[in-house]
Amino acid sequence: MMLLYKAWRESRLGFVLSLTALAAICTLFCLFPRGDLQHKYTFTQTMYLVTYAGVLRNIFIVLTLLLGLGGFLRERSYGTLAYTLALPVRRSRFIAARAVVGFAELSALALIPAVLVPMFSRWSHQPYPSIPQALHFSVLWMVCGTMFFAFGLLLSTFVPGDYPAAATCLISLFAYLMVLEFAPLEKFPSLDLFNVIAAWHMPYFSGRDTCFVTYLPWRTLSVITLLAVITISVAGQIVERQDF
Amino acid sequence: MIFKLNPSAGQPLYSQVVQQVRHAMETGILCDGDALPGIRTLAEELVVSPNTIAKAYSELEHAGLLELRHGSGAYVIVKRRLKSRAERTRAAQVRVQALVESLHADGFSGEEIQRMFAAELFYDASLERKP
Amino acid sequence: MTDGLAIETHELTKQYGNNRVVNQLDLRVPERQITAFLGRNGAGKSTTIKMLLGITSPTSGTGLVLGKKIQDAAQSRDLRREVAFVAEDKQLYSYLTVEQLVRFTRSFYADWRTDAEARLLKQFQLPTGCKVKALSKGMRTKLALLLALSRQPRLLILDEPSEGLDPVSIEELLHEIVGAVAVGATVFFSSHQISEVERIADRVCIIDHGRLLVDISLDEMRREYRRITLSFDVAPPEIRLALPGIQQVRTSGRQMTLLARENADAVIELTRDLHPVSVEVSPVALREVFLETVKEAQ
Repeated sequence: MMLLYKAWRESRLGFVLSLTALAAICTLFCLFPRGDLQHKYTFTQTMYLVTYAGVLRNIFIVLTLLLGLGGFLRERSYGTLAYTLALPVRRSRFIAARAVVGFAELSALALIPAVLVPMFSRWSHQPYPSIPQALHFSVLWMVCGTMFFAFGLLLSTFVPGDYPAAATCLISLFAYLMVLEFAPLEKFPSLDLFNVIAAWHMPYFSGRDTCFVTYLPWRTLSVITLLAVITISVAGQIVERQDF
Repeated sequence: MIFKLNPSAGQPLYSQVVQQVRHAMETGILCDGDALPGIRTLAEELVVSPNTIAKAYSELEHAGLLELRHGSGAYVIVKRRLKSRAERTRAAQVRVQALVESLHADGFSGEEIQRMFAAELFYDASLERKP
Repeated sequence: MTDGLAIETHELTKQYGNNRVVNQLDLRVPERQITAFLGRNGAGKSTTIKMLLGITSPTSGTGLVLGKKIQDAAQSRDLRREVAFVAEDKQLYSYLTVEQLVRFTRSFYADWRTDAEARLLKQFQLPTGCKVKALSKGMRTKLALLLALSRQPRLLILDEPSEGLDPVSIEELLHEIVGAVAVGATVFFSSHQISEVERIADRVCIIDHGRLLVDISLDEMRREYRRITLSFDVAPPEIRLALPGIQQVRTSGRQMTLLARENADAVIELTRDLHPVSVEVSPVALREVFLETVKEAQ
């Protein structure tokens, strides 16, 4: 319980800033959608492109990556590591606590568009999407967000310093995007989490109607969740063996 | 009683405690049946390790000068021969006083006199330890 | 496990690249005693302590703390339940208040004493509602000490506990250490304050360049170590006093000084054959033993 409290207190500021930034950007995009897109697409398609499949999605991904940072190397730079490691607690439990709190935080972030997009689009008298549809996206965002969060958490176990760790996260993200350009990988669209999270060109989503037409890809989402859990476990194993 | 311990003297602290208790008994500062503080209390008062006080009390107990009553404290035992030793100690103190005064009169400072006594006593003590 | 030892290491070594920070250390810290761990900056004290607590793993060698292996993660966790530790940095979670940090720490230890916690909060005058980041260095040190002393651990490991404290607080700290040992705890502390060590320590371990150079009880040191100064009316003879226990021989003008670790009386007897004008024997303070030991090691 106290470990969860510690993880929450350490990530609280980052979470509140992320929540505020995401909510502000979402609001701006909803109230002032891009004019060039509005000429080409319908209102709902424009909303989809700027939020769930656009800049808001990218910001969410970066924020979940950064939410994963912190941990023992950060504590070492603050000088509190000796106190923490002297507690009679398995080191991997600290990782687990951060993972639980991190998941709760990114879930809250994933719900922001589900709350704000339907609300603001209702003001424009073009409600989009419906709550169930919005929650579909939130589930995609939560699961994929967990994978990015897990990756950030893993990086934080061996990249010291907040700025180098953040830079490494972003560089890794770009590297991931470039790897996805590799032609043979086009056969596996589920490998591209940017598209999974946006349901972009996915068989369960209609781009024209901008709505989910069938069930969410539970198998894909299960695999992603499993990979995230494995990544967090690997991070736990790394810190158990680390020398400080 | 008041203890004065010198960590830099070439004498274990417990030994200094023993000596000061013996001296107090010889000079009548401590009388038969007087209570000394418990080990923990005295250690905290003097801010020394409890093992130091425990060792000192143990040595005094073995010498028959202290009675340790569990839960009650430590009680001084002053034997008859110690009482007469107290008188001899007082007489010796007077002789030491006269010697120091005469050394002062010869122009030796307090520090010089102290050094001479210390050197003599250490040399003496080391000879005493010779088998 | 050897009976009566709170800490026991065998050839404990920590190497970073080519640098052996701790070198074949054989430490023996008896239970229910106060053992001081002295050494220069960078001598390997903090690294040794980190290995004992499982924060760093040894390159080679073994160690037992309260009978539990330091290299085994599960046993290390068990031993930390009975060990109270104050780190050299004394940095604590800056975002918590004093009260929150006390509550946080308390939740991990079954041996927490709320009466000691209340007493120390009052004694150290720690403002419970104040965030740790707003505390001065001295107050933070006192808070770190409170978190260790509000328990009844079997072993207290303190790394420079008095650093940053005013004289009154140092006195309070020493008082608490003595009180802890009186109820059966073992204290193992590192310090640069030789005067404090001389007052309360039962034993002293001196480490330099990762090696244990001296491991002695203070009683034995006070009884055995002697500075013997020989004065001559001519140039002192060239001699080699090949006796065990002579740590150092130094000549200055017509005087020769010897630091004897033992056998002082035998040395004094030998020196009489040199016909000195005077032989002065004086006690050796811990500071001198420490300085001479590390100088010799160089």
